[in-house]
Amino acid sequence: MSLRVEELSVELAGKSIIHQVSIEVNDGEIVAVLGPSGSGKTTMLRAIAGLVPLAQGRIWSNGHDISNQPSFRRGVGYMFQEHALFPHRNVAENIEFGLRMAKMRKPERLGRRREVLELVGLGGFDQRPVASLSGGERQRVALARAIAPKPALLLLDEPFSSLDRALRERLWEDLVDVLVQTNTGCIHVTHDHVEALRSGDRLVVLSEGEILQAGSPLELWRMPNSEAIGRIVGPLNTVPVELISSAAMVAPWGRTSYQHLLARPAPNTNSSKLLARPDAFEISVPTTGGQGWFEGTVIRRNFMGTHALVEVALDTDAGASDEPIGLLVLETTPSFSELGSRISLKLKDRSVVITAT
Amino acid sequence: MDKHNVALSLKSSILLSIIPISFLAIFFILPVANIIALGLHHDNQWNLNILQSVWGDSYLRQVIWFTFAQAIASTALTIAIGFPIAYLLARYKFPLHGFINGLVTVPFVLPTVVVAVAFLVLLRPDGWAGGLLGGWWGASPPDLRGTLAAVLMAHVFYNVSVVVRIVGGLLDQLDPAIEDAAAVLGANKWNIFTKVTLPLVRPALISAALVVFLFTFTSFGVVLFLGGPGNSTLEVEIHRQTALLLNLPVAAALSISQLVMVAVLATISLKQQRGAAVEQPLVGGRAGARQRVASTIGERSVVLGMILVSLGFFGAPLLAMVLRSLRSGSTVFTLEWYRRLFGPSSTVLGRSAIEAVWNSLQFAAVATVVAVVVGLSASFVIVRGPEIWRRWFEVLLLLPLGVSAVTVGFGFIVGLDEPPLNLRNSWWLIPMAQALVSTPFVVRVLVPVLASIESRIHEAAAVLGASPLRTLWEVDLPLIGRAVGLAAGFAFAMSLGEFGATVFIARADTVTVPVAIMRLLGLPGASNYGQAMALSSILMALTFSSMLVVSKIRLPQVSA
Repeated sequence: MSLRVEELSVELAGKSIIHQVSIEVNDGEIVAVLGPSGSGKTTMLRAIAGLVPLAQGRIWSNGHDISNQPSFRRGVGYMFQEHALFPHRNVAENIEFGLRMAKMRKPERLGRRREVLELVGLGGFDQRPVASLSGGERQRVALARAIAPKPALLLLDEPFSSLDRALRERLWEDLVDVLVQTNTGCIHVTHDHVEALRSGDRLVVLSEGEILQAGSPLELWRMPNSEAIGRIVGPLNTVPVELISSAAMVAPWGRTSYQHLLARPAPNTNSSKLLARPDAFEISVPTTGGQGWFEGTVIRRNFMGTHALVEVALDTDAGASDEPIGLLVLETTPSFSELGSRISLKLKDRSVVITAT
Repeated sequence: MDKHNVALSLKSSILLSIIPISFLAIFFILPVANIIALGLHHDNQWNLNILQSVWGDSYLRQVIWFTFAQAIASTALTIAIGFPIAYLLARYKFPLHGFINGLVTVPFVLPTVVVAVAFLVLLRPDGWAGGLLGGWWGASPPDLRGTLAAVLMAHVFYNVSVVVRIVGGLLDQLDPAIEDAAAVLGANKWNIFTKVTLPLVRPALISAALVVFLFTFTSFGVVLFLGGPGNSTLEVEIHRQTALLLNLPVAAALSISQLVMVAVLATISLKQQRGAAVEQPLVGGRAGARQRVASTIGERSVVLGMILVSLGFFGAPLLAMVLRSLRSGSTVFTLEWYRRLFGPSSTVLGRSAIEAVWNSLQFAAVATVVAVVVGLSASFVIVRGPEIWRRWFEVLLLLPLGVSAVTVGFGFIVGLDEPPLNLRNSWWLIPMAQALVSTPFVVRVLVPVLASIESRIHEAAAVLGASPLRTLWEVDLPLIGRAVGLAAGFAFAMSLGEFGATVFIARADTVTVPVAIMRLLGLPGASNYGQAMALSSILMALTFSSMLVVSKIRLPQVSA
């Protein structure tokens, strides 16, 4: 067990920012914390690092209670959004800073510095002034500086958000390699659901200072506990349904059986919402009939290269008072639908959840 | 997220505040309180009798009127001459650009005594001004020494640098796209200047004018040397009442009047500045990005005229002074006066004049250390102390700037000459007065640099295992090191040239260079005059060299 946070609460200027948050991180495990801006992600990291005081709760590191330790004794690594390199020191001095604080002797420092610089792919950059580095290089130096003292835990505060996509993805892969090699536990906070889904062994959804749901990325993708959580984790369709028995529901496209569709048992209520990701649908063009299929019209297409996201307006019964329902549907290649074309959809087995409204 | 600086703990804030607070309490608040008591406590009770009699005195009313009048005239002239120079420097490329820029901005750090002496030399009827004026007046040109004209000239000489720094600084930073946009929309050069550029720099122009007004309102050395008997400002009058007439209550009442006027002016100027500030996009552009070569005949003649005026007006006085220090009778080059500085023959001082140089260097060194220590600890409290302290400290530390040097010196002799603190004969009095005068400048240099160190840097040090003290040592001090050097250079130069306060405190064995120059000039004889020239030239050289050392310092780019 590398880190355990128990019922952590943080108040800033009398306002509750974090409320009774509990998280565990094992050695070598990456926990992604996903939440919208202002959800308290950064404050939570800062509290764990000792940069803001706790109002309540305990933090254990390798079995030691570090809740009351000042940050310089906590031994956690932290990577800032704005890298925060020391501007007056060169690469070598930045990396050796933590080692000097840990009173490591000079020959060992030199060895460790070379080691981490190789690890982040900046071998030979030792004497470069920080100001001469590119954005990506700075983040690599910040990473090297954070892991050089072999922290028990690495805290990442959207460390790559200022970089372009390609660089971000490459750095992330390198970072994961480093974490695996050093068996370091890590908390990675981000507001980008794609980054959160791919980065975490576990995913925690934070909103307004509270943990809404935690689990594997796949769990949170497929089985969000509520519409709000589902939307934080990624694109989501919500369809109003009425459960009329344990076997049948009324959906906008008609009466249908539903138990085989569910990834998780439905709650015991009548009026409910069906939550379906864009990848929960089978598609057929030209239209097809049969059990479970229903039809609509393509009203928008976003071609993304490897796939397309297609918005389909469902046919509504004549005289229905409800707004027409649009569904966001994943279409994998070959792409065959066009704007305005008719399309048939069918929910896949065990692909959706139903929640109470 | 909060990007504010790391806050100091209450304990460290208190510890850090002790130094500046006790320094200001002893060397600023106690003297000023004594002046107030002296002026308002009369016949064993608090009353306004002395103030009333001072304000009722027609001569003293004349002094107050003259103080305002000369300040207004000086300010108007300074803006009229300084703004075109600032504009041309910011927008045109021409030969000698760097030299002219240095020439017009350097007087700011020159000791008042040096400037006054330079104009004394320049304005001699047998000097260059006499030669120039002789063309119009014929055989006997007027002696401009001891006239309002001389005072105004020296004030313009001094304060154009303020205008060039403040207004030129803004002109350099204005987003060029704004003027380009006006041009694309069909404005010609004149329209761009009057309808776009001028309104945008108006706030800077106003704030420069207010600074110049405050400086000239409290001007002492220049008026004392160049004003002549009829032209006395409040500062000069306070000195006269104290040193010549020994009329301390009247001097105190004048000091109080001046304090109130400066306070009112400063408040107005702060309000004005806030009101006049226009939100505008500034590009932190490098200086000179907007400069172009003058193309039309009109532009060229304006630029050429500016170059000639600058060379003549800003170069001539100092050159005249140095040449004069090397001249004896008809001999154009001699080191006679410099040699005499080392001899004990200069009876006016009772010892060789060169001792004043040694005194000045020692005092300035001590004053610099004190000003940097006080200013540094105060800056830390201002930037990182508890929220409420910050504002109070900022105001407290700027107060000595508003209170004139003469008031400081006067306060020292009335406030620190009796128990609980009798420092009257203490050697430390002079460096402390000099430190008091230069501390606000130290704070003004350090606070922005300290404030620009982002809290992330501290947090990075903390999570890497550095304790707060270690962070101070490993992160803050290296980052502000150069700014400290710059502040120290300023403090040293200011202390070397400090005159208004020192003149009250200096005794025969603690005479500084500016005071020695004044005493030498007060006596007849070619030798005394020559030695005054030589000392002035030495003081100018010392000031220049300390500023030259400082100018090699480049402030670091703190944000990484």
